Amino acid sequence: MLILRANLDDLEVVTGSAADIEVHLSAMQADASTPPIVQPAPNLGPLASITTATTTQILDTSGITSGHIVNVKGLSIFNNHASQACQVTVQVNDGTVVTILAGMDVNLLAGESLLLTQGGVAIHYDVNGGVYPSVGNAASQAEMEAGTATDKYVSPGVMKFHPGVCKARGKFGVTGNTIEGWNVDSPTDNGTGDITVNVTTDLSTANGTAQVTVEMTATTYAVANARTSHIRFGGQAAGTLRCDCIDGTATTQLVKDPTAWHVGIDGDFA
Amino acid sequence: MTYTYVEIPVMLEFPTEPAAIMNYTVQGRGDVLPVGAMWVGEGPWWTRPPTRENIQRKIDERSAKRNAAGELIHKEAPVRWTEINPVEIPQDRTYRNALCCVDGRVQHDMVKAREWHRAMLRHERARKFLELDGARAVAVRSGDTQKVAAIDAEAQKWADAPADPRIEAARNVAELKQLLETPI
Repeated sequence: MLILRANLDDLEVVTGSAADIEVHLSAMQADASTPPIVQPAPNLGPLASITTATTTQILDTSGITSGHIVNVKGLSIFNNHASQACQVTVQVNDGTVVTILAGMDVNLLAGESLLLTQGGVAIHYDVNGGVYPSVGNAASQAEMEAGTATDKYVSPGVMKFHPGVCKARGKFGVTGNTIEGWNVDSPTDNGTGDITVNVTTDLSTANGTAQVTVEMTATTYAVANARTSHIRFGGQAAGTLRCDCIDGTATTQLVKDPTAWHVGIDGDFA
Repeated sequence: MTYTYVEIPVMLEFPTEPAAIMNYTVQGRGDVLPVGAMWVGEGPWWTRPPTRENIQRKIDERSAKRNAAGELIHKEAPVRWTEINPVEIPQDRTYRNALCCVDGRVQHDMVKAREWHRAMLRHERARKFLELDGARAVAVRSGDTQKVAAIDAEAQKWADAPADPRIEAARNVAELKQLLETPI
């Protein structure tokens, strides 16, 4: 339940970006008589869409007699923008003190909505009308990197931060072309048996770990068909791994192309 | 809808090192959007137009990468780069390290191709000398002077192989490759 003091408390919505925020408010007012006379609050109905980053007064009690009370029965806030997310905050302002309502300071993605029920409960709906779970229990990047919490859940967007999770991987063809991959970008064929794998989002240091292996060029195990993969000497940077491949011929192995390269990179993101 | 990586080849040429072919990613996958890219739908696939600015940025990133010791991963910066037609890249990679770009067309630099050809011969020669040394020792122990002479003659052929005038006379890599496939 949300009760405001007439001619003192105003209800405001703060929008953090230029989206398309649609607000609808339901409220009643009651005077101080016994029994009180109850009637609708003034200026109800759909409000004009909020399309800028601003503070908008959605319930102005200045026209209501002092001593009356205003009971907000429900508040609906919908982000009708096609793509723009918007931080939305609902607050009570008495001209001196501003109080943010519990659960009413959220990032509304496009198509999402926020509801304040008659009972005073804030509910955040996703684009499909599903209620958001408690994000307070989602693991943060730091918690994922520590890897020790047992009272947090892992969301898809932070799983990559766990130290045991691969940071980039790819299968590359003989010319260094990407056949399949994740977080890899513009691999380079430096020459025979020599490729550079670039990752899209760099690691925080040049000392991650990497696995490099290659596919042989034939099923027979002749020394000329053997392929041994290497991380090139000094060839590891925070967002780059340079790899070599050689055959098994004497007296010094010859640099040779494999059929395909398989590369995985682990470590820590910044 | 199924998405795949989409790349276009860009040839980077260096003062001394073989030309590199960067497979510039036009459509890739990840949870972070690279500079110049936009999401395909809601991700994780992204697309990035191959503008000169975007390609140059990627090449600059490549050239600046340093290892833990502070050394550059790629010692030389490219002197020029060219977007190339993938169908012009030879499927046969025997003389891959001699590739270059002339007026936007992929070609073999015959000076580099001949050097690479000689390097392959020298490598094969080193392996062959080991075999011949073993065979010669056996022939000497058995007193087979005729066989020793034959082995010596073959070893001489291998010793002379990099100086074969046909290498210098070859007009293209097809002729060089024919020499590789011809017994010494």
